[in-house]
Amino acid sequence: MAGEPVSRRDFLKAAGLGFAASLSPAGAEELSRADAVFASAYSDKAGGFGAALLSEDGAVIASIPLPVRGHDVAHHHESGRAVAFARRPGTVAVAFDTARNAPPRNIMAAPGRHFYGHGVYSPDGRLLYASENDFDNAAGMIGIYDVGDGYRRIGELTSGGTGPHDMVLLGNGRSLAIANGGIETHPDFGRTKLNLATMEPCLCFVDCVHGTLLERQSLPKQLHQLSIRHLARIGHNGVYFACQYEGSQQDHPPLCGHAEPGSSIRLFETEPGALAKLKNYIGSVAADPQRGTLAITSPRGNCLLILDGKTGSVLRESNLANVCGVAEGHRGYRATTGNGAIFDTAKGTISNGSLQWDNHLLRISG
Amino acid sequence: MKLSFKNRRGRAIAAAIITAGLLMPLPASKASQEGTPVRIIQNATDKYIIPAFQQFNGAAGDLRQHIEQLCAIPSNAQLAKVRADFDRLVSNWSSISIVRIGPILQHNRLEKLLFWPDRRGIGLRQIQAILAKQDETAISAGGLSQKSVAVQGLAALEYVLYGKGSETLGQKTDGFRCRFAKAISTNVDTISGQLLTEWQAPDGFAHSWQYPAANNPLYRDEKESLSALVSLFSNGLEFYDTVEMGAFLGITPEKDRPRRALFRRSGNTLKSLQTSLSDIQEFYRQSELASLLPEGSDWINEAIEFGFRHGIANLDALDGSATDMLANPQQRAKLAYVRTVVRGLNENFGIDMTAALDLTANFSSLDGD
Repeated sequence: MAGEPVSRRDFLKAAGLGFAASLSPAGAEELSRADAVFASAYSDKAGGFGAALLSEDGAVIASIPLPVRGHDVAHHHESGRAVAFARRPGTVAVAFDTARNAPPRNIMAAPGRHFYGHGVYSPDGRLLYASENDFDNAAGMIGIYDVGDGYRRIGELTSGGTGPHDMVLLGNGRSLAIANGGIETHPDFGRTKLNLATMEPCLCFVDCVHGTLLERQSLPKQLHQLSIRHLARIGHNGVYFACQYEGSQQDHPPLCGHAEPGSSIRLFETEPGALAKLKNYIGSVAADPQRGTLAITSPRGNCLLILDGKTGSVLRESNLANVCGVAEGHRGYRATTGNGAIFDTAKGTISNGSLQWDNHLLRISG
Repeated sequence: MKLSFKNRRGRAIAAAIITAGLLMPLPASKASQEGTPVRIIQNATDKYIIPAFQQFNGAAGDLRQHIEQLCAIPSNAQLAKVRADFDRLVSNWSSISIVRIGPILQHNRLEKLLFWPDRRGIGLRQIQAILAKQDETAISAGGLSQKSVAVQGLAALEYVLYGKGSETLGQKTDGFRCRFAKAISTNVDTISGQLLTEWQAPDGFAHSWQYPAANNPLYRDEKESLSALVSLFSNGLEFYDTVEMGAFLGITPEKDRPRRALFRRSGNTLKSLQTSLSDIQEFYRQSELASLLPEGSDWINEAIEFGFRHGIANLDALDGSATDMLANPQQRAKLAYVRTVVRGLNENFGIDMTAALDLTANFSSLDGD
């Protein structure tokens, strides 16, 4: 999601009348001053759920209610379309087609499938790809939706593994990098992990035009319980990946690294002291290609680390209670917490409201 | 759990900590001995967790011994004794089922002790194959621990002791089925001993949990230690609701699946649910977690006690197997009520208690998302 922040005009176009129509006067004023936005799902203190657009200074510009707890948001800049996905094992995603001023639309998962909470638009904005579970067969799938036809589901691809979670599109616009976490779940048993002893995570590159598996990259066998969950694109062809370890809390395996097609997957050797702080759990990852860094967050370890993008060495640590969402900002990273804080690595805490931010923060930019 | 502190055997079992390659553990913490432990965590470990693991270990040892005797001199009376031991072991398991933290999460011990839910019936197929082939490699010394986790624990042992063909256990001297039962019970006994040792060791898990410190790789401060405890309650209650009950109790009667109930072969489904819930209450009370609630938050403890009281009372009014209970509308309604109560308890811990104690638990942190 690298690039310049959107201009005010772009933002107005992106946010569109659909949002503007629901704004309070104060919000409308905020919108008029906003020059870049972020998006995130949230829970409110009354037990409700939604997705919000945030201004550069952390104000909520607009929000839509969600019927269930959301997870990540996918966004297509040119069309202003966005989708908020239910957290796994949710069966609903909510699309908001702001440029057309259409009301939010529910996308229901196909029979035998549920969403994992992540998705991505094709570069032309005509298709939406969503990570899904074929739960009776414990097979990871990528659902394909025709945006112009009311998000009709028109097909699916195999994700190349079990439990696909985050995915990003590489610079060629057709290779999907998919984090297959390796964990089998079934809605009959809630969120229970059914195969921890035998799980096999992998990072797959899939051609989304032909549906072919281009490459499957796996970690060393003794790390089979290191679940690859989240991705951030770096450069034309690469991704940073971030993991959650399902083995003993006494182990401290490396938790993030770099991968690209045609090269060996590489784990960063993070310093033991910093690694221990992560509690074997990275919730989100973001990349800042201009500064050559990546940021990882751990809501379990209550910390955000900024790492050197080449070596993985720790450049900076911030202690933040329940931090999880992270995205690249103007002069650093922007992070959100489950306690309602918005933090900027250049400015400190910039906002502290009543909305509890969910796991991911998306930079909406060109 | 009926607390009895006898240390039946007192033998030491070396804990083999195997690490390979990249899985280098950090240096053990040198948490200051002078420091005071977190009182609530010390209560939790010393008054509930360690006694519960002692009892589990004791029951596992008794079962192993009686299975050895059954194999040597089979009789129906000895088989009945072994089955009674198994029932007691299941009950003790139900007491520790909520303690999914620390040593049990290492080396796949949880899955080895109980591979369940087994949605695709992997374990049953593998156990039946071992029995049909009389696979000696599964029962040789150390052989079983190299096999699939699904054939190593309580679910496998239940099938061997109660499943089709189990009546031969009382008849055949040193038969394959009995030796398989012996191998499984030995494995369970060994793991239960390792768990107890690792909880109790001077620098063991209980100590790390009780003494958070900046240089303690597991718990840096008191809030992290307390969050882990509160999370045990909320995660344990979520598992109880969605898996232990949800496996067989459908949203509607058409969706009921009595054959998926845990420990249905041995008739221990209801007993296990009863023991689990009343022992979660016992665990909560022994920990004295409620004593930390700030002024004005007493209602959380009252709501929790209300939930336990009504959940336990409704479970106590039930009778029979999962099939029996589901077939009887009054009993089924009671089960549905218990599920609702447990869901409420989960929120009391995961949301209310967490907020009142200003802890980090549940929201975005424990999801594995």
